[in-house]
Amino acid sequence: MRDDFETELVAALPVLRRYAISLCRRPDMADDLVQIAVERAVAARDRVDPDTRLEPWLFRILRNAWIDAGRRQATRGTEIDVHDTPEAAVHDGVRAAEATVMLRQTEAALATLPEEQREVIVLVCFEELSYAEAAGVLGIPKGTVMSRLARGRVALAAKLGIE
Amino acid sequence: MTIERFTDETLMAYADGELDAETARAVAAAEAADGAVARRIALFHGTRAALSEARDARPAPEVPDALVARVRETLEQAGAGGEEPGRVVPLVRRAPSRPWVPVAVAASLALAVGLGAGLSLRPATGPDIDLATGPQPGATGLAALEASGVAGALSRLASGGSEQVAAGEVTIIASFRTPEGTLCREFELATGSAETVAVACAEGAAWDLRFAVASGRADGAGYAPAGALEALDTWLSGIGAGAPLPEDEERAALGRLAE
Repeated sequence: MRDDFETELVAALPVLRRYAISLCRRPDMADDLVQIAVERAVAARDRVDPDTRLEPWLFRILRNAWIDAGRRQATRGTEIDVHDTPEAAVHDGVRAAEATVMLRQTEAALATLPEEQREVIVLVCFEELSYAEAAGVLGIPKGTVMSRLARGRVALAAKLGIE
Repeated sequence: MTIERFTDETLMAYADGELDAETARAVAAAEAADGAVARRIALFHGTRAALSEARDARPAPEVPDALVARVRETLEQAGAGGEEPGRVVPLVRRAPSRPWVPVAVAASLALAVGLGAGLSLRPATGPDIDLATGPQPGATGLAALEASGVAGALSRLASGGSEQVAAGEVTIIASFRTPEGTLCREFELATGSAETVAVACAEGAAWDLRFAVASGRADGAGYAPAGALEALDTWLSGIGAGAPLPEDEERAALGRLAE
């Protein structure tokens, strides 16, 4: 059982890190968040519900770790635009260039949304959590996830010209 | 046939495959019969597709080796110490010599760590320190938590709350406990010229300043030392600080202080 938990934990590191970057937008801080989340997850592993997926549980732990630091960051932190980081450089070639333009448009539009809408969109549409899983991560009712997600996507559609 | 009106939430849930079968059939019927409904559903399909593409255009970046090493170390330590099943393993302390700790940044911060009874917020001195970005000596008014009014705010405010006291504006960030069970509070103090992030721990009914570091200029115009929070984070890990207390536990802990 420990082996399963550890294997899944290590396997989840890339998405966990991506989620951390979406929260704090700083790769260095994201790595620390992931490490903190791993430590807390290991400490609380006995509370893992074997019938649920591990990732949403890890997301929740990571987000709680971020709230501690992020409550401050959200208002006056020194965020670095992800586009400026080396990791944001995408592959090469024309297709990648097109993808990058689209990516930038979508991410730019996403960045203009209120944080509460942005975070449900990240969880459901980027990380592909179910509404119920996203509600668990955020500690809010599923109905709230749905209303924020719907409002956010309607706003996003307007910004991106999706009809 | 009457066509039901559906909310955006329901139409979105339909597009996302999150509806129960019965409602999904009703929405499908409306989609087929009503162009407006169909367009609304297409909007939710469209945003989902755009977001998926955006995500795929930026695959999860490779996890740095250093992070993987740290995670493996954590797992190994927990594995070695966690033999009793059902036991909650204490938070693993992070190695004090983590490579990411930016020594240069730490040195450029006006860092003052008050230990024990030391209550004065005393910027370190040295040629590398730019006092213009840190608190001026004596300017923070945090010479004593009691006199400055900070102690009262620490005893009163819930996390997230702010209050104007004699020394400036206090904002409580979070509460946590040390491994010994001492209640501590992380807070910010914004004076006219500077901003300080600090931690104070309860000593009976009083508060003892344990950590303070300049985090930036209060007017927002100045440069905020990027390492301030990392320095705090390192310090918190070093003392084995627990996770932030949930609201109800915090309220109970503060209530006990007042008794």
